[in-house]
Amino acid sequence: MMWFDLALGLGLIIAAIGVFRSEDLFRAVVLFVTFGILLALTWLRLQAPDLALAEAAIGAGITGVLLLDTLGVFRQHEQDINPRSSSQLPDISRQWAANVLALIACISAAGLLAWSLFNTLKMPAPHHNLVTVVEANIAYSGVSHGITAVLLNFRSYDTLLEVAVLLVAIVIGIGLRERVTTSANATSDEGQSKLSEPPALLTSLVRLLLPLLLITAIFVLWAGSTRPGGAFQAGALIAAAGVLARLGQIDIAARVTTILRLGLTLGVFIFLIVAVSPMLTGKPFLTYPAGWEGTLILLIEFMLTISIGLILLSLFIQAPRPRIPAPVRNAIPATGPNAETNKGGDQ
Amino acid sequence: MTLWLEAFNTDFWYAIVGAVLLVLALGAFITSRQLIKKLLAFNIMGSGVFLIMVGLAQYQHGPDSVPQALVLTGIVVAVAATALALVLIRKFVLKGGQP
Repeated sequence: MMWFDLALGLGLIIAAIGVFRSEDLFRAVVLFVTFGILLALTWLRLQAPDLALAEAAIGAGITGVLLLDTLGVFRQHEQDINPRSSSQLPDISRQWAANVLALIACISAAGLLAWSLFNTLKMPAPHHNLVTVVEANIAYSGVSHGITAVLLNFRSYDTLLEVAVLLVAIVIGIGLRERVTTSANATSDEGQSKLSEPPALLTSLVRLLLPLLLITAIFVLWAGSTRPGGAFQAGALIAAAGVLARLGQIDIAARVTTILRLGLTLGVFIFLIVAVSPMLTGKPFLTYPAGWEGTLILLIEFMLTISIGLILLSLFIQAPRPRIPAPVRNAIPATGPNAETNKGGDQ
Repeated sequence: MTLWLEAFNTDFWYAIVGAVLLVLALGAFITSRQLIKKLLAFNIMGSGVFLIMVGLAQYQHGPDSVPQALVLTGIVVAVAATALALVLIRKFVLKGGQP
């Protein structure tokens, strides 16, 4: 099996070099998704099935969709506005400075990493390690799967902060969306649906896949307490289902409503309530009452799944895109504020 | 050299791969001119760090759920950061910047 590991590691490095060297952005993104899939395999080889699940769903899946969608927006935007200032010459001296800086940074980072890896080899194995600590305490955690126990009991503070980071990301994402779309929503939606009627195959596939994805998400969530799985992987699956539905022109979370906002904050909200309530009885922050650990962890995970799924989905849907579909704008010679009013007549 | 060969196992090998990825991605992050490629390099740099974290923690005493849980957190935060960066890049390009 050593040969497989050698090939996989070299494959990771080659895929990464391919990403860095390709001039075409589309090629780079496809190679990046390949890198993500190879990385998911690597996590399996490192005996980390949770990470493999997360990497396949999030690292390769959601990130890939976001990147490809962005490239599509760029392409549409280039057609929209005639390519201008693309002949802008790169600043030669600045590029040289960047190259020299990169070389120095790479050499020093490589030296430091090689030195520390070599020194790690010389160290004796520690008698007291985290594996034994987790094994000794897992009976008190309320779940029997180590990673879920670490994420939601032993180090739940990290998870709480992580969900808060996700919430901050989506708040900024919603804050930066095009304000105009809210007023011109009806017209631009109309234009888009006329432009790209989804293929019949996609629509029927979405109908088949949506319930399956939701059931799988719930199973992965439920399995999290005893086996690899949990809130993050389930949330990623829900986000993937939402993205698929969006591609099949089923609109979920396209508009920011009170319900969507509630869903986005639900995870942090419930987590905080569970975290703070023991303080009322004089216990420290983030301790579960004895006997209730398993139930509370499942409750938090369920809410987290909803929130993570909605946050990842909203980051995809709420991202800025060109206001008017390209062909419509090209059909009208005069662009400007009256372009939108003309559009209705042309259609 | 014998020291290297003695302790060389799967986990340690992937830690080395992670270190190589980290160094290569650092160089690409500095030199590339396109914002999207900087973002890809940033992501691969993160993956390198994750590999080092899990590989080095595990190579002496097998699967360890604490670094794995931390890396799981890291993967989710990385995708949130990527999505946010893409929102910013899209905004920048739609306002007339170069991708």
